[in-house]
Amino acid sequence: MNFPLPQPPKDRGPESIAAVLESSGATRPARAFSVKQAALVLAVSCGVAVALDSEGLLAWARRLEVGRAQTVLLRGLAPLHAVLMTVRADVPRQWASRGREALSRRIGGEGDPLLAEGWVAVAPPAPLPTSLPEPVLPQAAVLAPEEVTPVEAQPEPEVIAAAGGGVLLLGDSMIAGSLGATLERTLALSSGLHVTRAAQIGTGLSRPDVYDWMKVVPALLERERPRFVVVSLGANDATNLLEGDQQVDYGEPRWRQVYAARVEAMMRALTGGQTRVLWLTLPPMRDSRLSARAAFLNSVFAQCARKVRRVEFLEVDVLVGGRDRQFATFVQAPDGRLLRYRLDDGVHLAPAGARAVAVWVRDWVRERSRN
Amino acid sequence: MLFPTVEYALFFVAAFAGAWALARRDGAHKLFLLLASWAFYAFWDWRFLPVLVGLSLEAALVAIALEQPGSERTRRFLLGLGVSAVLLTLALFKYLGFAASVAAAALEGLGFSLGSPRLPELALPVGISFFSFHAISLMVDGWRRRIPVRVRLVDALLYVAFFPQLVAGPILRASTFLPALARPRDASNLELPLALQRIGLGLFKKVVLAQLLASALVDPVFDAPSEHSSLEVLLGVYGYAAQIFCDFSGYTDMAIGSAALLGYTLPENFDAPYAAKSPQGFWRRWHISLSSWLRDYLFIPLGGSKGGPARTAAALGLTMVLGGLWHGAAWTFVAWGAFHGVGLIIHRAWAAWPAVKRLRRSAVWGVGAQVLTFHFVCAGWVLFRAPSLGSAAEVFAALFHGASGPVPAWVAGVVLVALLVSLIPGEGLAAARTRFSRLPLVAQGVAFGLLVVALDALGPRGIAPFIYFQF
Repeated sequence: MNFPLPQPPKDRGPESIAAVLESSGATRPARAFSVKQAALVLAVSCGVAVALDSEGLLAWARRLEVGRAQTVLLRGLAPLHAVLMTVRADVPRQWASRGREALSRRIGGEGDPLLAEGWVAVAPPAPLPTSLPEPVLPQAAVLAPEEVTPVEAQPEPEVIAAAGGGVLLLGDSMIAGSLGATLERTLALSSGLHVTRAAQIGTGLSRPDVYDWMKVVPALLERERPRFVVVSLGANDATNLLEGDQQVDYGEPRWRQVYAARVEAMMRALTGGQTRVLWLTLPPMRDSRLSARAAFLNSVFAQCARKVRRVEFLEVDVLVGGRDRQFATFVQAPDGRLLRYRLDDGVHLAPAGARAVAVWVRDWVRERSRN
Repeated sequence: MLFPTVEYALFFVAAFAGAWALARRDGAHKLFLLLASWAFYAFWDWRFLPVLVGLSLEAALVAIALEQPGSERTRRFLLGLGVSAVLLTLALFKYLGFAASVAAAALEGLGFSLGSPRLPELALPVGISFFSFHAISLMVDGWRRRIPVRVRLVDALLYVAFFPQLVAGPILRASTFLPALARPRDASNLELPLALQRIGLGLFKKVVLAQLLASALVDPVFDAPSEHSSLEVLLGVYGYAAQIFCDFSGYTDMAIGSAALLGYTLPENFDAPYAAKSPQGFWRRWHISLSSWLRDYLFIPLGGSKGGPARTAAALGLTMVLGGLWHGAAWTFVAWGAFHGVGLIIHRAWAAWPAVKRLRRSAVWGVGAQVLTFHFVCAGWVLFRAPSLGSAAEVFAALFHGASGPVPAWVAGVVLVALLVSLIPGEGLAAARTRFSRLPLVAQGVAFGLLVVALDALGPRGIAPFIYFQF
């Protein structure tokens, strides 16, 4: 066989490996393990993991979709965590976490520490429902749209963006990935403005019990003092949410009301000073079910943007959609070339698609800078 | 569900308990594993379960039919029908948009402008490339009469869907896995130390190394290569070589460990790939189950190496291009496959020179060949990682733009550690495993539990999907 693809390596065949192992004593017969013994080892491992990592388990349960399974798990894990905390069983995990944080500080993989503040820590263990996180919704968010307090009466965050500031790109994996990278580069090169990316993958506005953007936005605006904010959020939001202690299922009319209130509150927080906000809609997705959800969320964004001054709304599907603004991996660019606009996951934008959006955003920034 | 998650741990504990509780009832044991595997797949997206069930059922029925006596013509027709159905399904989900874009671009070249093609672009079922290859292997091995046991429906369905390897391999052969399924389960001889070691190692590679490399180095460099110094870009490329190894081999480790706990042996997929001294050597060590599949089911049927140098080179080039395309419907993957194909062809011609044969015996030559091969592979990874050929060109350009900048020693350290991990040969941890196996059972359990807790704490928040899941 002359085929150059895999064949057993000649230099380290099974015989030579066996010889090496024999000389090291490694080939002395290892113990044979029965299933019962394996089950015992696995049970002990699971016990150790649960005992020492109850915080991690609780955090995992908190990230699950809101529903009965999550409630049951939280009810089981919260008291267990409370008991284990009394004997400081979390100490080994804390050591390891500190090691990770130290390493991350050295190599820069942890990201912006300010954004890390948005992750809601495991609540002090107590029986449910008080073990659930406190609702972080602004007061207006729990009201029906017709009852929402007028814009002027809403408490404005203590953030004033200085005129002449830069651009803040804020969002989830859309901003963390090629869209954010392309926007950052395009805007920095063309406008000369300082551009900052504030991205947290897997986050949104429907689960502030997991990640709370409203907690970090004021501090972020205070630090960056942006003139423009470009937002891409929502791709992770089509899920059940909590309104206080109450579960609200995605698809219920109430869901739209609660979610819209959160979006509106976010828009108001971002436009606290003279900051202009450009809210990017979700692009159409390859999966028709995801696409329908994106369209629904986009309608919420549009509804909210109309209510808040200095918030504008970019329908991304006009730029990256195919015919009829539907999902298309390959799209004819303005210069006539057929380019890959979407990544294989059918959700995120490929560089050419991201460029199409970035060019539009660049022109928007230029235009608004003149006003 | 991803392996390094609580969901998988819970699922696996249930699968382990159920499978061994039914071990003495062979039919029930396999049926349980089959249903567990389908449940595992449905957890991703239940809407794609019919694709998996349909493809595997079709392949199983064809394989069973091929066992029956019949004329060679009928058997060949059946095989062609079965394989075509699998390939058409794969094409429908994975290649339709790409093919349409290629056709539209070709028509544009001829002066016909169609605009954006409008074709139904379907969501991609996770792991479809892997279970399609399993289905093809089942039918082709049946046709070649290489399956030494009678093909049973549940066995064949389980072979395609067996959950440890379902979404990212290693790619199994029907000729070896069906006989393994036919053997009775031995509940007294589990490879527990191997399983724990591979699961622990896989978690370390994926949860700690791969994710750290991606967030701290690789993603920023590939997102904006021109904003990094040449040295940083070079480190980013090395980092991706380390990341993709840790990501993919980490998955394989966990798959092998999970299967071992259920009493099944999966083939090795990696053998210190960056220690290779030639492109040929690399493919003997990297994604071994794919490259050997391509050899047996594509290269050899295309003529293999028996038709003279030109024919061999053509078969090799085509095999590698199709292998590249298997990874994804994009020109970057085609270019990556072609790049390796050209490398293999050139090396093949080069290695045949008598003078080179003599030189290859020297130690210095060996080190040089290793360094050169590693950089050849890294250049290929740029094509593989970049979202477009233009982006890949930017990375290559940034390697030479010369902008200076500091390279954090800690980042370089993590890359080095990850690359060193990639040099551990498949059997290199056998001694540690043997010593571990002599510890008392409770100590083994405590040690493994501590390792899991430490890795969970060391890893970042959330687990990114495995790179190979998209294929």
